[in-house]
Amino acid sequence: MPKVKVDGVEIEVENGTTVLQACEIAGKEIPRFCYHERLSIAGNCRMCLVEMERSPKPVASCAMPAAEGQVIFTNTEMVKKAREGVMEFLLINHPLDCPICDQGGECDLQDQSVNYGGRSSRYELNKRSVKEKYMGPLIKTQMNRCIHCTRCIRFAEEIAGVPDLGAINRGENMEITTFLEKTVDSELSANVIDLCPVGALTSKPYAFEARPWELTKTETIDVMDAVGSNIRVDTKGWDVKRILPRINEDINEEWISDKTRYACDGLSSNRIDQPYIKKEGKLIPCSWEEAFLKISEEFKKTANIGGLVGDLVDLETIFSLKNLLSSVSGSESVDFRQKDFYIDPSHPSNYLFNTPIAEIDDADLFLLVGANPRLEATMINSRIRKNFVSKKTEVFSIGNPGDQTYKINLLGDNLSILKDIEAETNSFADKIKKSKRPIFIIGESVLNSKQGKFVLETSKNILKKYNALSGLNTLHRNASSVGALMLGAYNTNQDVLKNEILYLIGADEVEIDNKNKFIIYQGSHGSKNTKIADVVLPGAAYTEKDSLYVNLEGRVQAAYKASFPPGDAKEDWKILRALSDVLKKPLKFNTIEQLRSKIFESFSIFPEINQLPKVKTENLSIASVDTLDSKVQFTSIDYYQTNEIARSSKTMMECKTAREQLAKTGTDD
Amino acid sequence: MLINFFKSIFTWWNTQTVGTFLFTLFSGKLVGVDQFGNRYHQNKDDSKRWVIYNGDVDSSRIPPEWHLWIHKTSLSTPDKIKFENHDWMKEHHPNYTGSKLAYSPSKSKKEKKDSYKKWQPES
Repeated sequence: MPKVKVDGVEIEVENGTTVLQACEIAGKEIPRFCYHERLSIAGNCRMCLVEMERSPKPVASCAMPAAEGQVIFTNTEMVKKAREGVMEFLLINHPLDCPICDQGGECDLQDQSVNYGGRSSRYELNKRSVKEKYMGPLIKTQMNRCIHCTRCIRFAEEIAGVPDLGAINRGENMEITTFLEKTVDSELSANVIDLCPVGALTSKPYAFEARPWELTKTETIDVMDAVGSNIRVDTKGWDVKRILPRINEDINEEWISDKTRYACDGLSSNRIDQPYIKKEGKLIPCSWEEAFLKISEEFKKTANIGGLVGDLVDLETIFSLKNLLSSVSGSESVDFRQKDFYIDPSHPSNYLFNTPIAEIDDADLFLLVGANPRLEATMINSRIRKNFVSKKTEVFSIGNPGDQTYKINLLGDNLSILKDIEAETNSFADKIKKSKRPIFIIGESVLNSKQGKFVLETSKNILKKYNALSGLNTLHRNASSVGALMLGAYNTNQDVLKNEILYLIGADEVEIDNKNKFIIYQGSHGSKNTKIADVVLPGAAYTEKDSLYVNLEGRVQAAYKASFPPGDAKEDWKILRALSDVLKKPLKFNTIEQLRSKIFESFSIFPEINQLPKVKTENLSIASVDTLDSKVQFTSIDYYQTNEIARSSKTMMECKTAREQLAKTGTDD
Repeated sequence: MLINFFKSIFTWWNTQTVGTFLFTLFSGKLVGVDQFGNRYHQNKDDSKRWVIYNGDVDSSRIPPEWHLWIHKTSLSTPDKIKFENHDWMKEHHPNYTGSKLAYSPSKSKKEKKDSYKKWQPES
């Protein structure tokens, strides 16, 4: 534990700390461009120069390890002069185009030049000009502005795991490029936009849309996958202009996936903004009263009513729907499963991602069973990669999920391997014996009625044997799945689709035969199931309501209203509450606070907001199953088109096309 | 009527003040009335020219012809000067800044809520 003195204050820092981190701990702000906490140290911008005793020259604090007895000064004349010199060199080739630059207002160079910039440039020659590069449909380049901090290169290599970005030439002629003018082949690519300290890499869909100071910022939760990344939604008026990551060390650190970031333009297209009612085979716009009266007429005819919730539905809505349908028909046939899906809700650990996401970093062995974390839960994949890079952890897989940005050791694609591991006839059994914290990740592809039970029970048996049951993880794809499971929104005895009346809330994946059925569709975006509906009710999207979502760990997170629903659309639970009045079976809550306290009262499994559920894996019941000779069949994932918001988004369509182009070879048509 | 009388005593922004009223009574000479009902006066030797507004005291209510006269750009009153009337000339109006009629570019005025694309059942 070296002791260093920063500006006369002596502090003790941990081994391996850099001088820059020591200064931060001492409360001194050090300007920097290339240094980033989560990336390797490059030390090439020289902005973080500090004075050190017995050093003839100023030292780059980001690359200098803190050592015993160092005496550091951060505010001397020498430091100021050195930084001013660095800044002047940086500004030599930086265009003075702040007024037309999208980074203006949130630019590191702009901010630091206020402190260290000279009054005018002494440079009299022409500024360097650099050709624009193509980096795909998300990243807009203005390479004249680049100051060569290499953050983007380090991000692509270290965190995204795609060596697509690099620098060519040296010195003044250095250029950041994708070499082949191709799309960056990563689901995390747009994070380089946040990393870029200047306006060299900016957001293409957000280009010239707004200035940072005009935007209203709302800190909320993402629903594009089940991870529940923390995001900040920036709105200007009604429009959601952009989505940025919010730091949460327990979930997404400070990255988000491209889908999370750019599906937001789907929020302003394909919107259902008024109720519709089907007359003579055509959906005709109508008023809320007409729609509600029609529903109550139909509800009087039969008690055979089923509810199906989609992939983006929040806790409040599922709870309200469940209560409404049980008060009307007496049965609780609300389900969240839009496809063949094996669930064992007898214990929460059977469907939760039991390892907290942050503890993936401590794991020393991974087994993916029919899981493709890169496409199913990108943020979890970046955690696995982080572990793989820092500890060289081995990742094994049953079934080939394709490139995961790290090396995968394929055990085969037959699920009977699991039984071999249990019987210790497979060499993987030795690995798991030696491992202290093994992690099994079971994907939705194998959680079907045929394979699900075998995979789940055998995995439990293996993990139980090595006393590692907390490493049992189910990788859900949809933001609503775990919440629905915890609320008991499933009916394992009966198929909901057999009911005469179907109440769909954003359920747009399932294929429905609408013969002799009355279908109510409530949702924010139009889809194939909206067209076959008899009554359409306009709902709110995830940025337009205060709501709770449960991520795959079982963590309850609150999303906040950043914008409001368009036209006549209303928040989903309010629609159900109003409908319950028309049906003369009023639900027993009037405000969101009452509704939430009802949920927490009725279901003790829900933890406090932002906390993990207190679920113990010890008393998990395990059944023994016969061996199953069956191959892993990955269900196809169209990464950029997984939900209705993404499908409505123009940017996501562009991404999809760009990635398809990338996969083509020269001889393809 | 009575309230207008009190207003003219205690405020300056409702037509003339008492001082102007008395000054106009004793040394003012009415030279003309514009289309808005503002009355223009001068004193005997034409060293002073002034206007008594019909309504709010706001100098931008003076139409351009009378603007010339009151600022002594022209010696004679507008009715003695021949002005050309072009079809592109607009009716004079006071400066609307700060009022509800103030101009704002259509872009910022437009309600952003309309900027979404509707789902069409037929599509």
